[in-house]
This record gives sequence, C-alpha cells and structure tokens, in this order.
Amino acid sequence: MKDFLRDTIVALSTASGEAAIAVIRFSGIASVRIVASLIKLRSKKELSSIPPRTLVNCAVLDNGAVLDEGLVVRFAALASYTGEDLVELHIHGNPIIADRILELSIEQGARIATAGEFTRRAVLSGKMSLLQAEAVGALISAESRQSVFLAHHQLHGELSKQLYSFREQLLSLLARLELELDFVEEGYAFASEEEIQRILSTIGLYVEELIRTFPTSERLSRGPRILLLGRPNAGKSSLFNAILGYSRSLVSITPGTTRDYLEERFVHNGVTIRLIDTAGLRNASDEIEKEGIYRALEMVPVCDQILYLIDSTQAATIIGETQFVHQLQLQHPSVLITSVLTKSDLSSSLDANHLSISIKDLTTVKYLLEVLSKDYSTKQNTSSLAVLNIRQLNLLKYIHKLVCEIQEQSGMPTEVLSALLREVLVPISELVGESTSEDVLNKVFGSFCIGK
Amino acid sequence: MSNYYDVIVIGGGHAGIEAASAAARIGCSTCLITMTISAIGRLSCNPAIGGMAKGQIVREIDALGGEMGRLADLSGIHFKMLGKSKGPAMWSPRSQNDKDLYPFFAQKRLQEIANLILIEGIVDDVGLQNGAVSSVLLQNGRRIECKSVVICSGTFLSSRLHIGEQSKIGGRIDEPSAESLSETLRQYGIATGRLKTGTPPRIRKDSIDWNSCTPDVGDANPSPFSRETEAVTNQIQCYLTTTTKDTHQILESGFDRSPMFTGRITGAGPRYCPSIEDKVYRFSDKNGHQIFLEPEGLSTDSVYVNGFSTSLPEGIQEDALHTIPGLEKSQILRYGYAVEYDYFPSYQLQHSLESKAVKGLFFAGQVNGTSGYEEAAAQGLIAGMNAALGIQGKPPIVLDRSQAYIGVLIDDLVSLTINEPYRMFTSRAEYRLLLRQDNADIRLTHIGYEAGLVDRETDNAVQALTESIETAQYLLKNYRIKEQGSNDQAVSLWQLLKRPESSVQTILHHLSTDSLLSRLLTNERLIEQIEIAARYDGYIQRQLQEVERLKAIEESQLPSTINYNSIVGLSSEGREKLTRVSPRSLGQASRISGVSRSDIAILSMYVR
Repeated sequence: MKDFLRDTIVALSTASGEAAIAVIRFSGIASVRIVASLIKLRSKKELSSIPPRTLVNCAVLDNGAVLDEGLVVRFAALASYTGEDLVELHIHGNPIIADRILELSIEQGARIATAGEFTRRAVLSGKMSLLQAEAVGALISAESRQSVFLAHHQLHGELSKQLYSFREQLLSLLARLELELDFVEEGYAFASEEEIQRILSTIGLYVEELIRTFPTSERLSRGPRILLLGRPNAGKSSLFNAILGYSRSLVSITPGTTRDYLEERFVHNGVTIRLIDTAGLRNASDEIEKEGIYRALEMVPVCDQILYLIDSTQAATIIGETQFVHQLQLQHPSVLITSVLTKSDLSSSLDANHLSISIKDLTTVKYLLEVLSKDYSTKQNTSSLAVLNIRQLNLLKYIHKLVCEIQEQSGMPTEVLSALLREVLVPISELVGESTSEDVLNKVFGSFCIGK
Repeated sequence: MSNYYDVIVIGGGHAGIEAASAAARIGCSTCLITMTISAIGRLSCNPAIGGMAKGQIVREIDALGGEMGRLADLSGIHFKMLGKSKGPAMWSPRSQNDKDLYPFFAQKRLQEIANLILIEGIVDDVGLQNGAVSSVLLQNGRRIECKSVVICSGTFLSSRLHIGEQSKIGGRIDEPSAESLSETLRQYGIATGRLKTGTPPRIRKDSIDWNSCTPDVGDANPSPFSRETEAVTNQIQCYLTTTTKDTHQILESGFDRSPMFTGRITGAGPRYCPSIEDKVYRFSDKNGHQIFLEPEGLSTDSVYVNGFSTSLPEGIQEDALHTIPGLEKSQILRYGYAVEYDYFPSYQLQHSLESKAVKGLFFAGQVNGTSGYEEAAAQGLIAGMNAALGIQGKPPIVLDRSQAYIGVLIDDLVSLTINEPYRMFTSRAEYRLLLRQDNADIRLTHIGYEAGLVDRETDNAVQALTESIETAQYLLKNYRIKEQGSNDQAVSLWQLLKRPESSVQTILHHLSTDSLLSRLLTNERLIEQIEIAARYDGYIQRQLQEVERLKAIEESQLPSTINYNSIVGLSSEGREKLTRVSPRSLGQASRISGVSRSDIAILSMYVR
C-alpha cells in the first residue's frame, strides 16, 4: 500500500457496453509512457512531443496489429484533472476493444483505478476541495436538469465559499475571545454578545435552510418517486403503461394481476420521475398477493407522492375510498396523496374535487403528467439548495445542534463558549475537507464510479 | 574535586535550578556550572511568578516535584489569583516576589541537595564521543567528564545589550556573555538564531507620588503555589497608572534612535510582551497603556515599571516616565534595556528535550526560544528529569497536550516554527477546561512520584483525594431527593449542584450528617473539585471525548527513519517542514504549520 500514490491508474471513463465512443483514462507518472507503448501516432511523432490538450489521431496496437483507431490527448501534471500526468484515449465504444486495451495497459504497469480514484487524486493534489469532489459525484448521478445545475453550482464552490466564510468568521471571533481571556486583567472586551449571537444565528439559519431543503434536493437528484395505489382493477397498471407509453406490466381484467410492484423511470419536463405500480388493495386470500399488498403499503412512506386511483364506474365505493385516502393521509402526513378517478369515459358520476382520467383519452393522461411534473420542476429557490449527501447532511445537523446549544445558553463563561465554538469549527472544517480523516475520504470516494 | 558527574547543567536561571535539582534528586551526581553562584535564581525581568497560563505551569511544576512553587511562596510578598472574573479554568495564581529573597532561597535550596555541586565558570565547549556527550570544557581550561549536559544558558550566549544608540557585550546589565558555546554547537550541526527581549526601567520608591495611582490589592485569603506551603501573606501593595498622550509623543520622538527601529537589533522580539515603543507604534489609536508599579522587594528601594519595557535612549526614557501620573518626579535607578541573544530553534529537539543530533545533550529555557521564568523552569524540570532517567536506562517523561500545559509547551516547541520568544497562553491549550491550576496535583503528582521527585506519602494522599472525589461524584449523581413544590419530581443532588446559584453548602441539608457523602464533603479540596466539576459538567466530558477521538491519530507513530522526499504527492513546503521537525505521530504532523491536510492524508495512507 505504500506506493499507492505512485501507481499509474487506468479506467474506462465512459459507460461500459456498446457505444459510438469510449474513453480510457490514465493518470500518474507513467501514463504517457504506458499509452505511448500502446499506440502509434498518425503523424509518426512521439506522444510526449505533442503539446498538452491537443487531440491527435492514433492507432492502437496489439502486438503490432492495429486493434483500433482513435484519438489521444495528454494533460500535463498540475494542469490536469487529477493534478498528475493524465492521458485520454478515445476509441470506438466496443467493450472487447476497451477490455483488451485495459489488459495491455496492465501489462505495461498500470493498475485499474479504484472507485473515485481520479477525483480522490484531484483532492489529494489540491486541485479541488472535498465538497467540490462530492459535487462531481452528484453531477454524474444527477437525475434532473435542476440537480445538474445545482451540482455545477457546488462544483464551483458556492457551498464551499459560504462555509469557508463561516469558518473565517468563527476563527476571528475565537481569536478575539482568546485575547480577552489571556489578557483578562487588562479588561479588554473584543467580541460583543450581540456579534456572537449574530454570527451564530447566521450560521444556524443557513445550515437550517440546507437541512430543510435536503428532501427537495435529494428528490431532485434522484428524481421523485410516485406510487400508484388503489383497489384491484382500479386501472393502476393501465395508467402505468399509458404513461410509459409501452406495455410494461401485464394488464388484464382479472383483479389482482400485479402481485408485486414494478418501478419504471420516465423523463418529463426535464425531471426523472420514478413511477411505481403496485398490487391492488383488498382482503387477499392468496399468500403471494398478500405479500404484494403488504409491500405496496410499505412503499407509502418512502415515496414523494401517491396517486390513489378510484374506479369511477363503481359509484358505490367512492365514498369509502375517499375515507380510506383520508385515513392514509393521516397516517402519512408527509406524503402527498392525490385521489384520481379513473375510467372517466365510462362514468357519469364525476365530481370536480377529483382529478379524473381515462386512458382512452390521452389528453387526460397528459394533463395528469403536467400536474405531476409541475410540482417537481417549479422554480425552487435554487440558490439556497445544495446537492447534499448523507455525510454532509449529518455534519450539517451536528453543526445545527451545536449552534442551537450555544444559542440556548446565555451567560456561559467565556472559556466554555470558546471551547464550544472550537467544536463548531470541527464539522465545518470537515465539510470543506480542511480536516478529514482517511475514513471520511474513503467514504466519499467509495461511492464514485470507477472512471471518475 | 571530582572530575566526573552524571549530569552537568549549564546555567543557574529558572531552567537550570529545576534541571539540577531534578537530576540530583532522581539520583544522578550533578554539577551546575554558572557564571556567578550569587546570581542563581535572579529575577532579571519582573519580580513576579505566575500569571495567566503561567500560574498553571507553576502548579504543574510543583505537582511534579519541582522547585519553583516553593521558592515563589517563600519569597512572595503579594499574592493574587488572576482571572477570577472568568471560570475556574481561567484562574491563574500570581505572586510579586522579593527580588533578593527569591535567589537567596533558590541558592539555599540547591546547596541542601545531596549529589549536587555548584561551580562558577563559563563553558566554552562540549566534548563528544561517538556522537554522544562526554565532557564540557571550561574557559579556565578545566575539563569535566559527564554523561549528559543540560544547556540552560538563557540570554547569555553571544549576547548584546542595547540602550538607545549604545550597545555592548553582555547577557544582563554588568554581567558577561558566553561567546564560544554556540559556535561549538553550530559545528555539531545545531542551528542557532537570534532573538531579543527587553526590560523596563526601575525607579525609586520614594520618588513616586502614590496618591495619583490606583492601588492593586492582593487577595484577602491568598493561596500558595505549593502543596507544601501552609500559608502565605500579603506584605505590600502594588499600584496602577497609565501612560498619556504626552508620553506617547515623547516616545515617538525617539523612534529614530531606538535600536529596534534603526535595525541594530536583528533578533525578533516578543509580540506578546512588547516594548512600550512597540505598543505606541502598533496601537497608535490608544491613548493610554496600563502601567503596573511593582515594588521589587521588602528591603529595596526599587520599583519595577511593569508595562514600560524599552530600549530607547536614557533621556527619552526619563522624559516619557515624567508624563505618567504619579511618576512626574520619579528617579530612575536603572534604565530599561534590550538584550539580543543566540537561541537554538527547538524543532531540533525530541519531546524529551534531548537534541536529535547529539545524544545526551538537552536544552531548556530561553535558549529554546521561550520567554518567561515559568516556561523556562518547566523545561528545566523535564530536561533534568529526562537526562537523569536516561542515564538510569529508563524511558523519558513526555507529557501529553491533554495532560499538562507543560505538555502543550513542549509539543509546541518541537512542532512549531518559533519566530519570536514563545510565551504560554491559556488559548494554546485546546483542553483548557481540563488543565486547571486547581487540579495540577491530581493530574501530575503520580508522574512525579514515579520519576522519583515526589515522596510516597504525598502521592498516596493525592490518590486518596482523587478516589474520594470520584466516590463523592458517584454518590451525588445517584442520591435523589424530592424537591418541594415541583410536582414531586425526583432530582439528583448533582443536578441541584449544577444550578448556577448552588454550592456544596446549599445542598448539605439534604444529607444526614453521618452519611458517607456528608463526611466526604467536609474536605475543602474535595468540595472545590466537586463544585468545579459540576460547573463544567458536560463540557469536561466533551473535552475528554475529544481527547479520546484524537487518540488514534496521536498514537499513529511516524518512524523517524521516514524519508519524506521519497513520498510522492507531498507538497514541497510540507516535505521541508516534515523533514525538519520529524514528527513522532500523525497528530503532531498535523500541527506543523505548512503541512497541509492533503499532506496528512497522504502520510496516513503511507503509514497504514
């Protein structure tokens, strides 16, 4: 492990599988040498003589035979993503070719990168802060245009800047409190109670806002989850299929066909929505079906919205169904539950209090989609949002707890206040990556895909 | 006269006294070499011991079995607990001392110690054998063999005195300088630097108009520094006054003749104990600076003008003093002066204060770039102990930052780059709530006992106290009472005690007089510890958790054989600093300025 950082690493940076283009990335001291041994430039020049950041044509050779033709570009140490010598090989997106090149690279002394190792090296070489690195991870996995925007925001250090500023303010406050303590006989007072409270409440409010918007930003980054719920044959699977535009789940007129749940994603108005179809709710006798119903109800609290479908042709059940929805809403106050009357084309008993749809009439389905996606794409106040992960959220909660504790106790001795302010600095520093243990680094980089 | 001693201590200042006493009492034959035996223990700057953060150090020295606390008690004439407006962690004992009595008691004490010989002389050379200390050579040609040398030469190496535009060779007014020793040590590869420090004028007591000054009275019930001292009394009063705009104008007129401003002093001066010209220059918006008038003793006419350290020309010193209320007609007995001297940047030391380059060579006190009697004494004690323990084949004593201010002091010295005289502050101690003057004995007595400086009886008494404090805390937390009028809710006595207006006195009536708890709560020390623990309850726990949390990184050893130049990825500054300091743990590495967090991340991967 001692030469961990000496190794030259290699990985396929694009998604595996067939594609037009694949990019293989090398980083480390030997990357130019290793790539040079695998390729021949069309210009017959040496790779090392090509200016950095210039794409040139090359052939990839496998024991003298041409394996593929593509482009190569090198980045010089310090001016590269990782801060090390970095080379990218752009080849045809055939997994067989890519795998062979990786094999040949390993023969030449490269090592397959571990998850997130490129970004990890970027952090270790000071090319980016830990927060920015996490934003890179968020950018890659962002599932909505808005969260892509947020990740960019963070990548450029908005959150870092704010936290650094808090850190500076706290440090300056602490320095003055310490002066007051060490020169207590001179009777100096450098920091007023007001200023302390002002700084603490600024930090408290900012952090509180981040914590409050966490569910939104989290939903934005993974896409909202919408659960279809209702009695058997209420039309859940039909709607599911209508929305997805193709027959995903088996639809039949026999009640109770969907015994487990099915999840599919679709993109509407720039938002990735996860739609989940479930087993119909009834007093089932079949064990498998019981299990399906159990699972459907279990999904309720982890979803962002429930569409509860009510068969409008069964007029007698509508009141009971509405009551059931009411009950469900009471049990899960944080989940938005919307009742939807289905089969509107077959029914005359519609009321204006419910959304009503018919899969026979696509405009009603479209209308439903508009209503749904509007909830998730309406202008959120993005400046206050940040892409957060659980590590960051926990640190923010800890900061919030400490700040509240200090605010609640007035008249605390200065030496205790100073000790507590120092404690607040710890998670803030950890957030911006100023003091992170190896464990934190491992945690952060473990969730990256390999080629990043 | 013997020509061999186990340990030779060079210098008889506050570091030298502790080093010689500790080494001899641990059982090594020890010789203290000083220019003048009658100057041993001289209070060359202000006649005071202790103060903010320094008072804590004196208590720690006393707990470990050192001399300073006892000497300060014996010679003290005015005692005051500073920081009383803050919580107990900020309380710092301070004494004014008779400048004649302190050295008198110091010399008397050293002469009583078996195994310890005092010799007058100047050391020119330290002899080595196989990279280890083997002898010292005196200026008069005498060579004395030894196993260890502790250098405590203060400001006396290649020292220059400055008053205004005059400068001359010397380590203190009318005392010589040791001109050869630092050159010898440079030849052994030990780097030196220059620092400066200053001292204020002394004035005649009866030339002061005391009525224009504010009295600064000592404590009504003064508490001594040492466990061994039964009681101390206040015998004098100090006074306060302040500089005026006129004072500042006169001082400014002399800036062009100040050795500091004209660049004749090249050594860096202390930022925290600045000269009056420094204060006027840097805080030009302040209209007055506090001046403490401190009598230098019972049988002397001399008053120390604390806060007026200066090296301006004599005429300017005089004119400026005369603009200060109460000092209009003051007569100067000795002008203020600055001294510039060689020091040994302390990254060259191990935590034991032994040189990394030369085995058996220890450094303590102002030669390591510190300022202050207390800082010097603490280092002298640790260096003397470790010199002796090393000879006896025992491991050195290294105190943690969470254990003592002395631990903070030494860890800072060996890790930080010292550009100006280092002075202790409470803010340097991250575990300040744990490191209090009131619990120094609980923290450190046992270490002193194991080293051989504290007797068994004292150690047993402190251990017994520690245990009964724990018992009392346990009982208080588990003794529940029903409070009147509060819905019969049961609260523990501990919870009652934690309330701001409570004290042990206010909860005693809940207990029957013959209960174990009542009997425990008759001991004054125990009551004090319990009340402080209740006041800081929670916060102390948090600091202990923090100590625990950082244990892994503090205990993660960095072998001294690491070649930092071979580790890819370290920043060039980090590489340079790590190579220079050669930290013993990741924790220490993280405290070196210039070592970045990514350097630490890389190092932690390297040692994993």
